[in-house]
Amino acid sequence: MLSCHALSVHAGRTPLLASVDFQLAPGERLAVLGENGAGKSTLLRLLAGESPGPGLRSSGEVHIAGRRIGAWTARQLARLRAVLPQQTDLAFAFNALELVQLARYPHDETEARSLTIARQALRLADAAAFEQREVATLSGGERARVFLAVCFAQLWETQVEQPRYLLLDEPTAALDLAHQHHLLDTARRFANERGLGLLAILHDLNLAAQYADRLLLLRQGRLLAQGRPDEVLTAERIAQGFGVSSCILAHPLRPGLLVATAAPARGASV
Amino acid sequence: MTTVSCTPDEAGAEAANRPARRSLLVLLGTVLAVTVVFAIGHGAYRIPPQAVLAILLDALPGISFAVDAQQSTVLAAIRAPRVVLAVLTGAGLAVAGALMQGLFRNPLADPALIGVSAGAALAAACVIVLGGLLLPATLMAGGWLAAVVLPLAAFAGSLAVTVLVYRIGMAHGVLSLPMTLLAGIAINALVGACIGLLLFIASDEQLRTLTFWNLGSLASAHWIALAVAGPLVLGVVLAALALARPLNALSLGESRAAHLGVDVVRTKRSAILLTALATGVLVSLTGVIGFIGLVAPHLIRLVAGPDHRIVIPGAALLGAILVVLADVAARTLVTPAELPIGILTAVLGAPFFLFLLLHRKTHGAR
Repeated sequence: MLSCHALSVHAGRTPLLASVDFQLAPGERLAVLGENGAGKSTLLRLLAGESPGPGLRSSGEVHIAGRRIGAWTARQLARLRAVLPQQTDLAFAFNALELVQLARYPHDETEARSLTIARQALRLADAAAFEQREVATLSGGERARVFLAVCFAQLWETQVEQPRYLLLDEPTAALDLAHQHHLLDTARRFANERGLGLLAILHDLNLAAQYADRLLLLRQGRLLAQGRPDEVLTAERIAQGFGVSSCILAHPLRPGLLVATAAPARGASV
Repeated sequence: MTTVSCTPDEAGAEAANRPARRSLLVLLGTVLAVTVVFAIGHGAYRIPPQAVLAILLDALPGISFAVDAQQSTVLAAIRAPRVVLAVLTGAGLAVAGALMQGLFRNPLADPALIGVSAGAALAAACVIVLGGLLLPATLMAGGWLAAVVLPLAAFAGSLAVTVLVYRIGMAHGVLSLPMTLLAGIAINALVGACIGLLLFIASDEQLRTLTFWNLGSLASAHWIALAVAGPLVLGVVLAALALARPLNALSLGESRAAHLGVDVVRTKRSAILLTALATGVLVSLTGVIGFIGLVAPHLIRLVAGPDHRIVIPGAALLGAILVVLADVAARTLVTPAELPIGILTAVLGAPFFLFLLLHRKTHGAR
């Protein structure tokens, strides 16, 4: 279980996160929603075990696999969860294969094994074709697949004692429609096969409704709602959370719902 | 989407990603050995390569060769310590450069950048110019000054600068690299001004010593100093190898490296201390020899890629080759006089640096 209890982060007196409580179970898929500045990335950083940042102080607790997250060493933690950050700049001209191999850092193993796993992770992320290309020369979509492969390689083992978690920070932000679906679908399959808990920060409500079991809606650092997509995605909540008016329909192409949004709702500042 | 194979077939692992790595190290090691034999024989008094080999083998226990006594003496007392110092200097500076570049996540970083070399040079300059006023006369006499006082002062200077830069760069238990870099720039400027002032008030004789110190020389090599510097520099190189994988991960950025399980604070702290140790010890023996720490790691990266597991040992070997050759040039180009070796490395290194800058400008940051 990855859980947080009464999690708060303050910048001076301004709350960035205010008493957030939730749990992510192994095998579960959770999408975190909310407008810019709602506290999504701050939440993800704390869940990843990072410090909240310079000048910020946090209270409350994050637990992973039954222990306080700070009680794990960096190396132990790296075997329990992988993080796909929003953007990564690479200092040196590593090629894709070398980059993915870096993800095997927390595992004690031979060079041959880490190379094999890196190749398989690239293949799984549909990035094997450019394993020898320098990462800096890849397109945005290609790079996103390579960095997803980094996360895959980090959590590649299938026989493990503890449940593990994959945290994605706006994984679809720079991708076109097809790549958005491809990335989330690949991540979902990977998580299913290994029983990972999957958490993704998403901006697209329909992607969230399609790929997540459960949604978390944040507003100004507070948990506005959490639950199944049909519980969270209501016109009222969307107006509160994002300040846009919306209409919830049955999706014409697949089971589930479709959110149609329009210009900012008048008087939505609840 | 195909199903994932759960147990990777290790026997089927294909050839390593960049296959030429091990052979590159073997090649560099061989070139270094040849270069060392050449450098030992080359100079005002020539010793043929076969005689050099005979003398070296003769020194091994259980092997004896017919050797010329005079050649043997020149080799043991003059050439060998000098070439050994050149090897240590090249390897130490190159590894310090590779560590700095990994630490600052920038292939253009150099130990001189955070003021470590400058701190050592300033301390030495202070002793040369002001030592007469502050220190007992015996300490300022020739032998003591060169062998003990200057090296100690230079080492203290580099350590002081490192600690200062590190303190300025640390905030809330986190080492801020931009702050460290800026502190290094400020310290370099301050040291430059101080050395300028010292040059202004120095006597003619002091000026000569100062110049020599600032431009570097391997002429002070002797076995006693090497007995101290040798293990220290070798220790730094070995410890740097242990940092190779964390430094690789660090090239993804600090938080990403932490996600991968790297102890970021410890890695950065170790890299800084190792750099200060190698640079301080070497500057105290040779003065400031620039650009080795920049050129050697860069060339290895061009050939073998950016993996620190190859960059660090490769740069150590290549740096040693470069300094040994530069020293041969320094002592033979204008015989019987000697060029300061720092001039040679700067003449070759500075255009290389400018070329890199231009290349980055046209081809984007690498």
